[in-house]
Amino acid sequence: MTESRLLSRTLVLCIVATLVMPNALAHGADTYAFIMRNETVQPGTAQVVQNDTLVFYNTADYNRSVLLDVDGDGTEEFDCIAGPSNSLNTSDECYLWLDPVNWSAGNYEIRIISNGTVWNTISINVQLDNHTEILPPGGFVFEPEKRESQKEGLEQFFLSAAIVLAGAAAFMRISRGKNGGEEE
Amino acid sequence: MSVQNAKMMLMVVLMALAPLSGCLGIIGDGDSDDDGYVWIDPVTEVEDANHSHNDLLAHRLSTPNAKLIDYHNLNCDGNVKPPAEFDDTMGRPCKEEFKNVGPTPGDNSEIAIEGNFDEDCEIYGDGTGGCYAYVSSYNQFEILDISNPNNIILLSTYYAEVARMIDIKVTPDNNWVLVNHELTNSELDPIPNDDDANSGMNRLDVIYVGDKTSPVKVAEWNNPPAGFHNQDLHVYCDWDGAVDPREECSLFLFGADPYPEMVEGSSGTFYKGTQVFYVPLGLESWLPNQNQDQQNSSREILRWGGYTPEPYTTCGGSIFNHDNVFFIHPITKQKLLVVSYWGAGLRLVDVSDPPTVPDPLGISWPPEVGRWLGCPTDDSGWYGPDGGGHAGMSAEEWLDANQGNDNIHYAVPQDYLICSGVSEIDPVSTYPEKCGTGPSDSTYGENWRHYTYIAPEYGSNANHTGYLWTIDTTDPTKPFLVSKWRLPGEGVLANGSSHPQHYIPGGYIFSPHNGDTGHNGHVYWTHYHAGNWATDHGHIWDELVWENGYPEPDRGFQAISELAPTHTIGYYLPAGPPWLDDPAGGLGYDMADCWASCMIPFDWGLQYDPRGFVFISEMVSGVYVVQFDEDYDPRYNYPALWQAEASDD
Repeated sequence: MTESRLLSRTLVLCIVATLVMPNALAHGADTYAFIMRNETVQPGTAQVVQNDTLVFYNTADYNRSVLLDVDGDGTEEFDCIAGPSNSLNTSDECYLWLDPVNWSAGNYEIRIISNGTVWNTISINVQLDNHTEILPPGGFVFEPEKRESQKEGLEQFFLSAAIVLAGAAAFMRISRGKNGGEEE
Repeated sequence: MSVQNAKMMLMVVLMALAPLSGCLGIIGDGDSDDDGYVWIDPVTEVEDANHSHNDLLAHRLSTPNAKLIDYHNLNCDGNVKPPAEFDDTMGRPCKEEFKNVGPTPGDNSEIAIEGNFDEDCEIYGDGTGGCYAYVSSYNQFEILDISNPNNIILLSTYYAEVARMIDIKVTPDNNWVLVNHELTNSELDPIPNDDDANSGMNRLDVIYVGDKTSPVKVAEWNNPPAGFHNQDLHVYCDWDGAVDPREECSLFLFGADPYPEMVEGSSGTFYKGTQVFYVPLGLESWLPNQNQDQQNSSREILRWGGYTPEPYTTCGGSIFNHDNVFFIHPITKQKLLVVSYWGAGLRLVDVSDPPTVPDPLGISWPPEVGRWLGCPTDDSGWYGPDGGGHAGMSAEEWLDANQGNDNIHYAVPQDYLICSGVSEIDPVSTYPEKCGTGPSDSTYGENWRHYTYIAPEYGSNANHTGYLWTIDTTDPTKPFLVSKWRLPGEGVLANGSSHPQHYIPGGYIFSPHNGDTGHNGHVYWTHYHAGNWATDHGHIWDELVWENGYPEPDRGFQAISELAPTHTIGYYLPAGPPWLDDPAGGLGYDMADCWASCMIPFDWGLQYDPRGFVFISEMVSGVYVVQFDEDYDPRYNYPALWQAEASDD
């Protein structure tokens, strides 16, 4: 097998491997809600994407604190109090924006404190925001995007493939780095 | 040849032909012979040497019961844009001779139809009557005369300077069109910065179409920052809140604005996603013959109400408003919106009685009367863990798109009650015994059901294309799941192995999109590149398996031990007119700069003509009129004319 054929086959295999990887969940609103009910929290686990805003709604008639130690140093960088349920304003809500600058892909645990004790936890899996759409204000896209042209041909294809592979490689590296210690 | 050898030979032939099935499907159009038909799965996920999504002719597929009746590529007069000097607030008439010749303008999205279908679209002496279709097409919309489904005629094209017209609706009298301009991509479609006070792409526009050859814009409103994604309307008569005693009937608009759910709490904007507007002085305020002062004072809409799911009625996830569809419930006579709210599922909102005092923030109006999503959304009762108003899923399961859940994007209700495949508008003599004398039958009335159909939309989904859910909304306060359906067949992964169901590699390619209902339980849904699918829901009530052996609608899903099947009727993939061997070249399809991922089909919307025809808006190539054999009504016999013309040629 010639080197060029080997390369091209490797490239194809890499593209295929990348394409069959689990995708980030399709989502449109860039917000993701968690409902802190009287007895349960919904959902208890979620897959979200960098740049999403997590919204925690408290439906109980007393305060709950939402805490998150982002870097595992024992100090909660996110500490928000969601007041008693109130439909007239947002005092019963907490917001957490997953700023891509501060959030890398990986698993995180959010603790919910009620009456001074840990009442519940939420496990979130943050995925890289690696989509390449041109975003309107608010980062919101509903429908298939209008393509400028498909005339670029193979050059564009290989360039796109390279970008996708680079993104996938980065994702895998970060993901392994993040999960490695936990799994082993 | 022995019988054994013959069987072997038959198997060999079938196996040899199977990979060629896509090619053989090219002869599908017009081939009415069902005998020997072998099911062809039109969905192919992986592009390789054997399949290209851009190969138009390889997608010329349909089941034998789906017939193309007519086609129009929406070429108006040979120009894809009006002359530069043309006033962009007016439309231009079209010429019949340009039907199905190049160029094809493309970029089509939603389609709306209206008319006196039950009277076969008869035109009356005063000029009223007739049936028309309206197609939103990015920068423009088109008006077609569809009175004769086998000879549809493009009457005019309205071209706007700004995009994106996503949705289009028309009043029942065919006089007023409501279009949105939604800002979904500011780089491709920037808001114009010129001197004509054009407010850009966050508008709701009203166009007077009393003269179908000359539509005229008469009003517009802004809804920053992104406009509405979808809108609907209704005229209320004898409403006490009318601003002028001369106003016998009052116009209300229902806009779907996804933006508030995304920004509420951080921007100070507390408007809700489903927004209701009152139009003082109604339709008459927009008549184009008013002077400028009169128009300025009359072009007003007032925010009158709003709705967004309360968080505690959800299981979390992404919650935003996508589409609102107005209907009148055939039992309760309530005026309802069926609203798609992504992770918050289906919402039934009661807009029967607009308050006389506006409630612009939607604090109490309009109220929600029912909802359906897969997980419990209350601590107890119908929506609680032991209730019948959900599918017993955990929040995590419901919000898992990989299982075909979540992302509820479009909802459409039945207009009529159905029972065992007949509609309440069918003659009583056709009712099966179990349907008695109709919905009011004291014994069999319970068998007449009302359903609402909902489906998701996914940009990509590595495991599923999503379910079409059938929700029993006979009692709109107690919706429950009775059936679910997905695209039939198995998927193929990139490595060639089989996948339990089809999936969406990306680009929305096989996702469900918009749908419509027939009168007897038939449902039609576009699936972008997977074409248009017809399904039969008419016998769901007969085929449900109840835990105790008899229907218990008051227990809903909890009483059902096995959901009923939804039966596939057939599919049709538009792929240019069959009489052309190279429609893309012959009609000038824009395959390089297209909104629809540069492939045909990519079906956005459809509408069901009660005479038995489906009007399909394909995003690149135009409008297709299709009839499934199961919908044929001898009162409305409109055979395809193109076949006769083709044979003449």
